Amino acid sequence: MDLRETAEESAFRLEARSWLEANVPQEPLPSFDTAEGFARHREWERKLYAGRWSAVSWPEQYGGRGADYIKWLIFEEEYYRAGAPGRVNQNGIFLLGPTIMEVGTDAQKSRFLPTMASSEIVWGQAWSEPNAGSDLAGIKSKATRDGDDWILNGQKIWASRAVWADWCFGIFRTDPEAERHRGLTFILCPLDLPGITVRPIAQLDGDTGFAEIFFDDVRVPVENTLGEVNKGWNVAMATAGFERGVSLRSPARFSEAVNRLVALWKRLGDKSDTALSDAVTDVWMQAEGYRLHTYQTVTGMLEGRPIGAEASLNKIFWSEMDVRIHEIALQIIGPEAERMEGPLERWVDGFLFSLSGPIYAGTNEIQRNIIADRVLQLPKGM
Amino acid sequence: MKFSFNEDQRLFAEGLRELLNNECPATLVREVWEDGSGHSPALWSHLAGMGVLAMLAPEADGGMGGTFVDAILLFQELGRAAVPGPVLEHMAVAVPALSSSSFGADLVSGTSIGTTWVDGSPYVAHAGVANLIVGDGRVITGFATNDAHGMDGGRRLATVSGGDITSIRTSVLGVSPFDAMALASAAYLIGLSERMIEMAAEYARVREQFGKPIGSFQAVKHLMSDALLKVEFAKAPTYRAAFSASIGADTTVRDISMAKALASEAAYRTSRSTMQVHGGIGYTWEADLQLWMKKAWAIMRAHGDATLLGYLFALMLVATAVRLFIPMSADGRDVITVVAAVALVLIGLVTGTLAGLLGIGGGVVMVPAMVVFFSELNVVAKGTSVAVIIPTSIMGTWRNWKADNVDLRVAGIVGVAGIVSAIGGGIIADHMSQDLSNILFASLVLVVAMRMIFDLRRDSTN
Repeated sequence: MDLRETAEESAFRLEARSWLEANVPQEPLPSFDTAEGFARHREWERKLYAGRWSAVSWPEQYGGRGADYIKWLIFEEEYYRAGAPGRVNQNGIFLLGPTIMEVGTDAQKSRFLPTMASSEIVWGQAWSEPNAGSDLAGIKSKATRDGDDWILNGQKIWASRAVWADWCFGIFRTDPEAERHRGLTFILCPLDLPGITVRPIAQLDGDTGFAEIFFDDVRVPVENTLGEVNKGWNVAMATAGFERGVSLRSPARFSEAVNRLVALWKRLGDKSDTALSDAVTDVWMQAEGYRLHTYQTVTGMLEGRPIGAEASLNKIFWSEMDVRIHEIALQIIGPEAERMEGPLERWVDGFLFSLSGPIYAGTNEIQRNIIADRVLQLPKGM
Repeated sequence: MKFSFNEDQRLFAEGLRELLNNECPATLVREVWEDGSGHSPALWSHLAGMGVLAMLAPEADGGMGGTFVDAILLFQELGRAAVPGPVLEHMAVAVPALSSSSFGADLVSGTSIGTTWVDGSPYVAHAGVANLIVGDGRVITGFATNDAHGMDGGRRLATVSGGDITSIRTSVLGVSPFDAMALASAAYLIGLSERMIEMAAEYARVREQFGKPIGSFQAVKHLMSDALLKVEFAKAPTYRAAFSASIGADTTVRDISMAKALASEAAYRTSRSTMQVHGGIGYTWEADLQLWMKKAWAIMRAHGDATLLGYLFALMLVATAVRLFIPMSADGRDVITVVAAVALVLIGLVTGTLAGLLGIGGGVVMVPAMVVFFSELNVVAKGTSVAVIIPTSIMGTWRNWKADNVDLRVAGIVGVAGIVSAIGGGIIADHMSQDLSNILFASLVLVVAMRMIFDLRRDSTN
């Protein structure tokens, strides 16, 4: 155990810091869930790619730096420290990309990864359906084989980034006779094909960060299948494990948020309110705990102990911590917390966004079931 | 950056787990409770034989020469088995603090048993079975004890009287005995929690209601998952604290108190959840769960409840003072305004007044807390946040006065003294160099810190 940075890691940190200081936009970009904001974020992603910072943990041949996970965490710390824009291609670079690297063919890797790293193609996610939310295996959208094509039919919902994204990835039922978890296939699909209708859904904050996607006899070639046919559930769970485990919410995001919270408390907090200072300290410790836990997890991954169902613990932890950070911030802010625009709007926006955390990427109740079943070995209930 | 234990550390911990599976089953823990001894000599010699007790003593003194990182998983394993007796006290404090002294040889071999008295409690845990008690800078031998009927039968509490006091250096590998106990306890609490979760999960798999194992109900699953969540996220901070202690990091005290706070919270939540899962059985003397729960409840309050905070804040005051003694960089000094200097002096006076009359006030605690916890180095930011306290206090006083909550006599004395000294302080500050005013403030803070330490130590020896 040595929790100090190596010289190489410090050099990497400095390199990232100086690039970010020189390149991060001075003014915050508009939300990437607006047309203008989306375009501006795509531009930013291109700039990151040109500096080879868009996917640092990817192999160099796909536009990354071949950095290990520790360096990835360091990069993330610098990224949040610099106040850099949100990652509009999160679904691609952090979710689909690693899955393609794990189960994709060589042809798929060279076809999809470079354009993903450069955000020439921005990816949306198409998993949930109106009747397949927490019960994701209840998916009804179908893919029917016709020669060298799949014909897609059905409806997806809560498809994040789908309003402006170029492609989406989703799971479709390919064997209606099979048991629920079998007979599903993971398919990649452009969003501008005939037969596709994307209907934006306004979120709690009013932005259209997600959408419904209707598939009406949409034809995609079978080489867009990721992993084996009828094994889509396993592919999706590999993606979901990575998402819940490490990549979706790096600790730096929360370290940065609690540091801002402490600054807010210093500026506006009632210093005689010890319950408030306890709350600030408590959530600061949580962020620190999450950071340390992640470094421990990542060291384990580097030493060949892959993350399993305990990934669900992370997802519960960060999502509830995020809500707590923002609840405390709004308590400090007081009357200004009622305003959607103003000097402190970032906290109000952040509060609304934080409320989605316990729901998306598998609700926290589903995560608790997963922990109980797979980590604690309790009997299945459903 | 590498956050993992090496092969040796893991294997040693596994070996200890195996030893404890055989030599410290729940039946033994219960036996030790019921015979009133709170200690098992047979188990003690097994732990001595394996080298566990001497892990933190240097090899030159016959120990294993381990660091806190080498020992932390062992503390955790000892907790899993709810090992009774003064094993933490002996292993984490008595042995490493005294191994090179005349007490050393017998402690290292385990023939003499040491416990600790460093947390300001009127009671000494395990005094009845210990040959010596380690306090801060002293060792007590030849004392008489009177059992105080502690809740945890594996941790007998006693009051202590008489005895011979030997003044001696009691540093534990560069850490205070108090912090060493807090760190060991954090890991021990994690071990206790892990085992409580296992017991409840086992029970939930076999206990049936409504024709199904209760573990298949989501209400039970979620209780259990939440307990696991707390425990898992207390681990990394605890291991980090062990690492900080082993390299003598500046943040060691902070990291240890964070570990103890998180582990205590995790253990308490776990005890509540696992008891709930056990239902009526969980409320019985017969269920083994109680042996673990009560130990958790005892240890979470020891080694760093309010007193830890007392010491911690004293240390933070010292750290603040040290920082102020160090002249700021040219950049820093440029922006120290007269207002900030006056505020610093004022706060020094407020600090003195509060410390003298009331003990410790929120502002005194808060500012150094923020300085140390959040590495706030900027003197102006500090001064500014300090200044915020003044109008806050004035407003608070005014409101309290309106609600008849103010003792005017006391307020008058403090207020008049405050105003007079503030004016005096302001005049002096105007004619004083900023470095000097910083140093004066720092000195005042130091005095407060030393007084707190003195008071805490006096409490712990009385």
